Amino acid sequence: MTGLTLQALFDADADAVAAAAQGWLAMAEAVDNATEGLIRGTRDLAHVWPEGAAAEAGNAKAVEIRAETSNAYQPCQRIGRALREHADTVRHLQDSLRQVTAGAVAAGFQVDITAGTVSAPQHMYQQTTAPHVIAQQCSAYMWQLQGLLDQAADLDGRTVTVINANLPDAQRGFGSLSLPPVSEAALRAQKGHPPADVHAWWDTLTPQQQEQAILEHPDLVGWLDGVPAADRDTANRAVLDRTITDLAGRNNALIDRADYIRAMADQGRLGELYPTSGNPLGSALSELDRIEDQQKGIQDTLTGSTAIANRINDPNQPPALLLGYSSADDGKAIVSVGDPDAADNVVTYVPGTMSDLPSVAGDLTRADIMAADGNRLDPSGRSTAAILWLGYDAPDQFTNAGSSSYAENARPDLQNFQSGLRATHDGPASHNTVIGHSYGTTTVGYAARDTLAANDLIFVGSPGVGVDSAADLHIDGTAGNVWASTAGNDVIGFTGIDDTMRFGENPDNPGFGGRQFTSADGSLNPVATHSQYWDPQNPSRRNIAYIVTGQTDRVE
Amino acid sequence: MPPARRLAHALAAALAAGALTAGCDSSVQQPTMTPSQAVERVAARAQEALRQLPPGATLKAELNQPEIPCDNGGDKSTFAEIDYKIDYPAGWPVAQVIPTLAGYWTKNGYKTVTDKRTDAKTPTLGVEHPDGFRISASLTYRDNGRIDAYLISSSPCLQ
Repeated sequence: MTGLTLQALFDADADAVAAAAQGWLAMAEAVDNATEGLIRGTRDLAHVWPEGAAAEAGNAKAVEIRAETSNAYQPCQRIGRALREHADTVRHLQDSLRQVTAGAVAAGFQVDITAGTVSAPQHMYQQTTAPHVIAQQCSAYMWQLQGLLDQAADLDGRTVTVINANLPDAQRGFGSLSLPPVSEAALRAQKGHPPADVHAWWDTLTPQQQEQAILEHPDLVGWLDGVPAADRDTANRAVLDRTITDLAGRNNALIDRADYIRAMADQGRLGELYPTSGNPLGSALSELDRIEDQQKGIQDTLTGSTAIANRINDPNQPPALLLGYSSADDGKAIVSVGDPDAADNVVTYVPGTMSDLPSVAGDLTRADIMAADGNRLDPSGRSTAAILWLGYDAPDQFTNAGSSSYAENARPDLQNFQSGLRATHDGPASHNTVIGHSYGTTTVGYAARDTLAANDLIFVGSPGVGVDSAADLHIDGTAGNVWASTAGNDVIGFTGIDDTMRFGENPDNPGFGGRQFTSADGSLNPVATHSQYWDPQNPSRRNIAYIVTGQTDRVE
Repeated sequence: MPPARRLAHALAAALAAGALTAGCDSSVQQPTMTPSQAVERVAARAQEALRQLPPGATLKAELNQPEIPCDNGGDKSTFAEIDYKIDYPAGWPVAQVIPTLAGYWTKNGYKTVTDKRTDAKTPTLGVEHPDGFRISASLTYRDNGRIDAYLISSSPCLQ
């Protein structure tokens, strides 16, 4: 925009630039999706067509096309972002231009946008004993307007530079050279960085590099906060499938071994099986016991893993994304019902004592229930995603639930996860809620004592949250965004003395400074009541949905 | 007594009390049916409700949970819940869903559990059958003018 004038700035069509930006960003997304499809559809070509001149040429062409398609993504995205920033900045400059002009006119000056001048009528000089002040004011307005023009010119230059730098070469297009693969070390180095930084780094990768990282290091990509939900899902599904196959294989091997031992016993040949044992029968029984224990462990892990696989692959259920999966120790799983990067409301559910991979199905249903309730009970039609966050090692039994160590250890992971949701969300920020149940409330509270990226917190059936006042929880909200409820017959209510629970003041106590909501008193079975907050027609369900969807004026 | 030990003792006592009072949930004994039988009855109750409404509407399951644990980490009892959206044609009297079902359920021995019929945005009526199965009817008046209608049917905890 050479010879930029105030009139040109005033008349600039920011909406048209914004529309162009949207077009480029949409094209970038389409290129990204097409590249993913191309990569997944052709990466096995070399394995299924390994020999011959035609195979060689075909494979080489596939590599070239993958690279060139992948290389188109970043330039499209950069141009789209530059145009979006251009449109936003132009609007801002136009607002400033209007304000300066209105201010000058209100003060009696004459502004000529076309000529780019500010002048005072003669009578202003005549009616003052300090005409030099009038001249200075004129100069000041001119100086402000010139400043806006300078900013507009800078913006123009930057946008043109980005566009020119990212247009394809007339001969080579975007080129077919592949950028270096993402190494394991590079991925490990990202852990510990703020999720926003991780997200920015992930964005610098071409689709090909992202696919390569997911394919070769799914264990790392799947847990990296700041990587978009869809990419984490792809990575974690690969780990889940591989684990289920591996566990089934190990289980079959154990079955075969046990069958073999029994067959040898039937044939009276245990001595051959245990040649150095003085008691072959005892050795056989010991090994069968060990096999049974190992099978139990495998079965437990398979139960939970299969429950997750069945849920995320069920076409008759709302779509779900696997944001974390590990079969190590008690297991961990993070499953989102709905896409948290796209949803308007996102609730993260942290379960409590005895939550682990084998028992994950029950907690998964709570995520399904909260997503369904949120989408059903919001008249605005905004979408709700609900995440089961079993990203920590919860206490194994009630006798361990008196220790704060599980909550302490979970703190950075939950904090990072919530920050990651903010970093990867598309468009305006979502309304994010974190809900804890039982010991899960303690885990949430310990994280929020420092800081937790959430607009609202909900504590149900809490043994205390590590602080005695809602004001001591640091979230993207105030004490008025901290909610709690304890059912009248909930066993957890019997574990405190007055309002002091194991981990601090009962958050359901008005003295805590948060807000309370109604849950049904529950059944005569206090232990069962502790788990009834998601039961049909329990008022707690409606109230949780209202909080999650930002309808806090309807909470009872 | 240290707080941690007090917590463990209280929970152990409550678990024992729970074992003694198991089966005393709500107003009915926990039915001894299989999860699939419970799901059948849950679905049947929803269809029965639909039959009381004017023809032309169908049910679409939006939440289908056949075995929800009643108690995390406790016994293995489960309950079933299916949330249906009522798909209805243009001109169908959706605003009559709750009054019509209120009359039917009252006549057939259901007792009211949740009465939010006066809620302007999401009126709801929830009832329980003498056998412990529950069902609710609710409407959502969307800001864009559309009215969505739902039936939420569930079983009690099964033994």
